[in-house]
Amino acid sequence: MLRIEGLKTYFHTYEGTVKALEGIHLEVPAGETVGLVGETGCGKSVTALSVLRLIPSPPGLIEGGRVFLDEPEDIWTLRNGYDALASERLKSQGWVGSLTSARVQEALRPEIEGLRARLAESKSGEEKGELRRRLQAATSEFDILQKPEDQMRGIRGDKISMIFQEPMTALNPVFTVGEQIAETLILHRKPALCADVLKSLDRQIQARQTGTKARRTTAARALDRLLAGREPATLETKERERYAQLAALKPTDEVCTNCYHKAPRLWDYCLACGVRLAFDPWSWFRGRIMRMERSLYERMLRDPEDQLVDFVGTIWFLRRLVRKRLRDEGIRWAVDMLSEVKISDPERIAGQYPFELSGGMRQRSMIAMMIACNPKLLIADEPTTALDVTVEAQILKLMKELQTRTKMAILLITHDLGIVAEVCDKVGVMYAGSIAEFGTTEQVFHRTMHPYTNGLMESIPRFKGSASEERKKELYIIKGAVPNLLHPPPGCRFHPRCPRALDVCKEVVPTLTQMEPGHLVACHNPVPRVAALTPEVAA
Amino acid sequence: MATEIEIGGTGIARAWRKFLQDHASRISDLKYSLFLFRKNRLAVLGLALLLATLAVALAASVLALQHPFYVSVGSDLEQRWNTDLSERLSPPSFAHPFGTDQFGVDWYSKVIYGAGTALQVGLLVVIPASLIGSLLGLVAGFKGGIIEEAIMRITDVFLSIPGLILAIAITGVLGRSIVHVMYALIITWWPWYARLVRGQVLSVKERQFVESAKSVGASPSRLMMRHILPNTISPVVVQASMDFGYVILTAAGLGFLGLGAVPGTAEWGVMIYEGINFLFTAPWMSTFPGLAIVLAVLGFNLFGDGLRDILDPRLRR
Amino acid sequence: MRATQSASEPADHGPGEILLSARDVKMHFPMRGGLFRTVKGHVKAVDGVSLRVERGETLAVVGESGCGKSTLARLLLGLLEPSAGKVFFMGHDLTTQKLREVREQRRHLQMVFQDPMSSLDPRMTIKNIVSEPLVVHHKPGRRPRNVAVVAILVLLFGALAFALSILAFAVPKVPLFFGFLSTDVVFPSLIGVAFSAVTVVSGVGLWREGTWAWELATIIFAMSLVVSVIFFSPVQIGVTALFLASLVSVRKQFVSAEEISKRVVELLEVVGLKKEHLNRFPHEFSGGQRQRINIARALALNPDVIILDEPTSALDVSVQAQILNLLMELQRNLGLTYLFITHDLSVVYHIADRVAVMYAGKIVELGATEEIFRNPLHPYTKALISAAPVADPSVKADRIVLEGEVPSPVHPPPGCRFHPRCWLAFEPCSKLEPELFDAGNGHRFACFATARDRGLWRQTGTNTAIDRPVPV
Repeated sequence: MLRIEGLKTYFHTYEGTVKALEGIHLEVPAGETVGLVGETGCGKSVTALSVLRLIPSPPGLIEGGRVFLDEPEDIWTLRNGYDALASERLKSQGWVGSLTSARVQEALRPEIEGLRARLAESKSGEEKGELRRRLQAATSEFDILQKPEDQMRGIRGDKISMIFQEPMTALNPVFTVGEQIAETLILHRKPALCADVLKSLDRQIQARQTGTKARRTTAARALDRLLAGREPATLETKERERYAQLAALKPTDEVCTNCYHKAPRLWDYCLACGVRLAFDPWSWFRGRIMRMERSLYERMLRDPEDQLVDFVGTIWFLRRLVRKRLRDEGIRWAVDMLSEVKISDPERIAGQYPFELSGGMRQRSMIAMMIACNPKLLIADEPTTALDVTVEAQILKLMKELQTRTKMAILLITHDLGIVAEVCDKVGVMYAGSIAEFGTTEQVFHRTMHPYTNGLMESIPRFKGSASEERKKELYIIKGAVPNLLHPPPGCRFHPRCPRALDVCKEVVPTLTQMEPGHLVACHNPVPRVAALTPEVAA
Repeated sequence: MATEIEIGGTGIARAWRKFLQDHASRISDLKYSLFLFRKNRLAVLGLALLLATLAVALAASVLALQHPFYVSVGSDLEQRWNTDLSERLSPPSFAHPFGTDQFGVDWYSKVIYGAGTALQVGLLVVIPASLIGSLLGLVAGFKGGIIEEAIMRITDVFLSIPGLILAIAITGVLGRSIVHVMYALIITWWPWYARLVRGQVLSVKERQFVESAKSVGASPSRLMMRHILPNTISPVVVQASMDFGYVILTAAGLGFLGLGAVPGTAEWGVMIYEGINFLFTAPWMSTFPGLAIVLAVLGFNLFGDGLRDILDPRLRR
Repeated sequence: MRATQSASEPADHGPGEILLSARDVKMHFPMRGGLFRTVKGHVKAVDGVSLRVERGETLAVVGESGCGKSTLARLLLGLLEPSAGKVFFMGHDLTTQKLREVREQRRHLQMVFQDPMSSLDPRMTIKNIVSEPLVVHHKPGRRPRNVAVVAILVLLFGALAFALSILAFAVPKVPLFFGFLSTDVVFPSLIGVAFSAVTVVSGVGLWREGTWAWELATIIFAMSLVVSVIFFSPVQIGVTALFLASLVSVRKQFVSAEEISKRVVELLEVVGLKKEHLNRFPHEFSGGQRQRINIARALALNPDVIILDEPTSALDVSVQAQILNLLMELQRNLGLTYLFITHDLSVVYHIADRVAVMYAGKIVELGATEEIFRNPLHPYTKALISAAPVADPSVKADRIVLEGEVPSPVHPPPGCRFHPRCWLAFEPCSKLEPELFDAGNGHRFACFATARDRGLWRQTGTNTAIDRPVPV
């Protein structure tokens, strides 16, 4: 799903150039959770922001590399061939460094032009298809780093979503949760929303034509009215349904007096029967207004950039004609999303502001917002660091469930190895801007090869499965400190702190090599770690 | 972190190097601030205008073509200029770059000397106002409770007094003088600082290092002076540097309305006031002081803006 | 019906000396609202906590956010006055003491705060920060004679200048202060009044040996010297120069830099920092180093007890290991006692002798570390232990995932505060508040279900009253 190849991001600051990312290679397959672990300053967040191209541009710049999103397997195989060819050519020209799409396209120009020419001439559909695939492979079509900004905007939120560490700062405090989710939906799913708007509009127009009137009332009162003194057993079948419906609600919930369906204050109309429930100052003209809205939304459905719709949107007192229903529909979808993230009473939460919610709720709302458009990739940047352990358990369980249901890929960025061990299928360990080790959690935790990963594992205090004499003993520490990325050490960036450093480590940057299938390490002197953990879970 | 560097040399050189090493952090912070400041072109322009005004004021005796003299009138000293009626109302020329007024006084020299007056007015209003306001705001924010309420209500009362009316009242009672205008301006201006500082104190008070100092046993006055005050000054500095310009403008405005300096003094506002009568016959009389005011106020404003930007912790590093 | 936690408990500690103890401490913050700021309710942050810390041990207080542990820390430190209950430190009742005595106690009881980013004053150098406790508690001896002389001279000078400036209001045509502004004389006199008043104040301060006074007086006289040079009045130059010289000569009395500096360097080296760091600012240091600075400051006065409020929560794993090692080493070498507040169970397991588990303002379980981890008796403790992520993928833990959220401290649930989320909850849990039952060996827990299973509690007729109608 996501393939990062050789990503390089530098920040050009007053004090010099901070080489934040120095050639990252990472893969997140669809349907899997990949963890990106590292300490503060190693570049994990920068990686996420680089993928989304949200790096603040005056100091920061993505200097190289490619990020492939949703690249089909066959194109990838083709691309490997083209890449090899391109890098050979570039090397012979004396050029070193990571590949960028522009460079590759430069190097492969004859091939690309040839393919284009043949595509134009070709007659058979099959041949056209094959040529198109080759062309995509040669031009690194799926590299999102080379796409223009407006296409990126289409991708953000829609194909790739990101949840952040501090839900309070990531959520806009002046909009309710429902409104914020609706905003994402309106941005990316306008046609579907328009269709829904038209459907409910039709229902409401019909309700108005029949002249039905209804109000909001509490479920308790509605129950009384329905029963009218009778026993529940004596009700007719139709009324029995309604009784069951009402009995399932809380006594203080509000319902429509016409159809006894739940009617929260988020919307002016009843969702089921379409009767207006709120006071309407324009009641005389409502019919005409609704017909106008209907025609406008039809136009919006046919052409999202319709000129008339845009024009109406600019006149401040007519704006609501093309906005309000869209928003209401968006909030309805938002309520569905909120219930998907296991929030009980989602209608109430949708109408609340972020500061009114607890940490766990906020994080769930943010997750709801980010999965609203069913992204193919979810990047979670320390999603549970600010939360308590018990809430963290809930959120992680939720994310796993969502993944099994929607098959989305998750890139989980964290510094907590415990979460990684529990939730992730694969792990990448980052140190000072490059990947030190990558593999399945089993491989990385039990057969650690990189000395840094080893050091991290050893320095965690454990309580499950460790003998009691371990307590109060000195913890293992990795000597030294994280390097200053302004002047990183030459060669392997970990060598000053590495207990296994060799002379070659000081000069040559190690590349990621595969040690066992699927387990890659960037080290000149890796260590096979004997698994010493026998699980002894506390009673 | 850097390892210890041996300090060689003797005597003063050694002391100087030790000083540099001890304060290395502060010095590098300063260098970074200067760098940020330089990047902001408008701020540099503001600084240039500001320094130009200062230079003109200090070098008045050299730059001006004509110099005033002082005559004691009652208990005051008044500034007087030599008149030359043969040159009255002459347009700008080589002899008189900004023209002359109805008494033949060289307008250019008056504008030059006006710079000094303007700067003094600014200085002598902003510094007392900011000091008084900050002190009151500090006490109010720190103590809280009834003291805070009392001080804030007093601040509100003074905020509601319009400077113009106050200036009229004071000059009416005490007589027409630039100093009386300054009193009025100080009284008008200090409440802003009180409010500003109180707001800052309220937020700084909650920060953990204050609690930490309390837990060590610091007395309230130490907390206030050593911990809270230094962390609240930067907005005050920014506000003061911008207010400098506004004070000059307001004083000039009051002078223009007939309050403030005695007509005949080299004060830009009063000079514009004098020139109103001759607006169509001798437009230079009002124009040049007005231009000078614009440049000076603009300079302070831009400089204050630049200062605010470099002091903003979020924009750093 | 309520069962409250008893104030005097059976022994739950070893034979050591009890340094710090809390007896049924409650902290209810009033919430005010409305026009007249009437009290609308109380935030019951800490609601009846009793514990004891004995010399040399590490007691960990575990709980999630909102359980009141940070408030408890501040109560134990004496920063907050409890709404009810008492806090004892080394035998002294902190709640009834006067401020001065409390300050004295502070020498023996220090705190390391949570967030290394904001717990250091960004405007002070490391040297100032670490030396602050020393400066604050510095008790000078008898006032030396030269200081007294200088103080009196400054005072007199200031008074004289003050009188003269007042006089200047009345005397016309005193020579002008500023060359340009020639219309009035009152203004310069105001400046003179202000300066001389400040000089008088600094004289008083010098008498009372405040360092600030010395700095202030030096600034005043330096400014005066500059002005006198600009306006070239020889007499003024001479006088101010004399004053400055005398101030410089008494510098040592006020700025006792040397010995404090030495001590600060000592402290920095103990925590693993270097001498060069003295003059740097906090923002130049990493989180781990800042936390070391915090620790250095806490050690400055040689305390007996240190309360640590989540000292490693904001730090990376490897840095956390360094800090924990440092803390353990310091405890061994200096004989310190720790009260360690955290939410990280693995840290607790590693470093603590005894553990207290807090939930919604109350202690729900208490006991020796190993005992609690091996055999947790309260359901909340069990949930916490099972929820803690383990860095081993082969341990597919059967996590107990709790429903619901931490209760609001304003309206805690009736009865046992944990009952809405508890899978063992039965009838009395929503009506009665459990007391701390004793399971032996100092292990105590507050849960009816477990107590019933262990035969420590029985449900009798009077405590099962139902007073809420159940809908049909």
